[in-house]
Amino acid sequence: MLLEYENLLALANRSHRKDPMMDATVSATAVNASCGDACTVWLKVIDDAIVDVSFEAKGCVISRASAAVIVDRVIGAIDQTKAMNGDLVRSFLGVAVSPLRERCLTTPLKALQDAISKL
Amino acid sequence: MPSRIDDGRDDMMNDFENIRVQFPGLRRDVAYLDNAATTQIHQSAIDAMHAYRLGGRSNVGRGLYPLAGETIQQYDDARSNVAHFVGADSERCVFTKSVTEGLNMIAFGLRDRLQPGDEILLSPFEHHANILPWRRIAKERGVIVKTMPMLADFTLDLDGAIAMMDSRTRIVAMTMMSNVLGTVLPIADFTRAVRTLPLPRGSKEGFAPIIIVDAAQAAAHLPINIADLGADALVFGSHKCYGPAGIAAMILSPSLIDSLEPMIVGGGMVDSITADDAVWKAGVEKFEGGSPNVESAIGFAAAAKWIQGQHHSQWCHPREYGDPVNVLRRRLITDLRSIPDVTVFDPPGAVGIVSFMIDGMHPHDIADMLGQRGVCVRAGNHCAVPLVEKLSSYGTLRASLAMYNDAQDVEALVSNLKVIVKKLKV
Repeated sequence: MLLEYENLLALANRSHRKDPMMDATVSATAVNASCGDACTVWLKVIDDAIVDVSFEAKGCVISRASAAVIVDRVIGAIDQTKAMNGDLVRSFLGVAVSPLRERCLTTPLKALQDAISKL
Repeated sequence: MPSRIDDGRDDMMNDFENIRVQFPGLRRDVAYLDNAATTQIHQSAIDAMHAYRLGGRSNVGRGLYPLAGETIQQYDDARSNVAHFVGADSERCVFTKSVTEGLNMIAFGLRDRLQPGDEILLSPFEHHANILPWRRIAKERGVIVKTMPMLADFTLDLDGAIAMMDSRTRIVAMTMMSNVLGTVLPIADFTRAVRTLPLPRGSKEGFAPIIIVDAAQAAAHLPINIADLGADALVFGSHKCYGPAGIAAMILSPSLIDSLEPMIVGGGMVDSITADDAVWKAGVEKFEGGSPNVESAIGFAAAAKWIQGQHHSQWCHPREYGDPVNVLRRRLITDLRSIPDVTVFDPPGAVGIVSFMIDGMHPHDIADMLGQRGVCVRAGNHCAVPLVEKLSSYGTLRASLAMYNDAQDVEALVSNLKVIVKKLKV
């Protein structure tokens, strides 16, 4: 378990997409009130395609790691992002995240999908 | 589970081991420190409910056959025992499904008495269950909800709270013990002071707020006598008091029993009904529409009786029995403070509960890892956001103790925390 958390911490800390995007086409924020997680996602969209993404995630390590692995998979993939769910995000992380942490896991995904729904 | 280790309570060890075996849930190999959420159930409650189930059952207040009479008698006895637990008469004790439901019932029943500009005063330590019902009726009726001040040591500013009272204050709702910090509120001092305040100039009504006490946490830790508290209503539940889930008690003053409008209407609470009108029954039955949860009431009463026995031992024989929960709490606080970067909240006079944080680590992550290592604690905002956001951005970790916890539970928490912090602290 500690090793899994170490891996999650590494994922959460390594992303290079963690700065707010000044010229974003759209953004959205999702929160997980039960543990204070908050994730904001910025998307740059050209010709109906996501060409750049960044995020700012505050909260537990699962939500921050989840944000980091999702954003790496959304460029050029609007339809795939719309279809993502918690199980898929869990597979991205490669860690057995408890169902009790489902909202931690999916808060960044909700922000992403909310942003896409604004397009 | 290995044998329990010495926790410095040698004189009590035999009695203490006896207590642990009275809780079948403790056979699991975990350190259960989430008792402010739910305690394990005592064997006497299990036995009482089992006997009722095996003995044949019926509904209450419906059947005319002898079995129905027996069930009514058992239900009435349970009511009497639970009322006695807080020094009340059974005629004042309403069974509800939870403390939350009881507080909602009181708020609903009082809402028509409120006028725009009236005030409801809450303590700063409230669980959402004792905030949201009041906010809702306040919004409906144009009433102002105010919060009493808190001192820097996380205790109630009693003088400040009393100073907020005026003739517009119709309702005061306060917990007897914080579910986050273990802070014990001076309810009796507050009510005594409020009841004897001089009339404000020009006021004919004086200070006559209805005072409602949430004793959900206190009931397992502190002997309670509603008359001593001076409260008009007091609500506490079974599942935090070693009893079954799904039942709580709402103790109302005789005046509220007579005058409070019931929230739940239906079978069993009607005295007479016509084509377009109905008259509610008098007394507690008015508030218990629908088939009651008889077996849980019986279990609740058994658990309450067991707690009374424990409190009696501790209070009548303090040298022999001491205050084991809070001896252990002091040890827990000392041990937690030995871990680097731990902040422990320890308000003066607090009991039973310890909230703490580890700098740079999210409480949910720590609680998740502790859970995987057999240590059950709570993390987050504890359904008390207005209080917790004054402590931390992401909530706190909370270890809450019960009469069956011992030094091995504390050791399990502290030793695993040390491993987690050493390995993962950034």
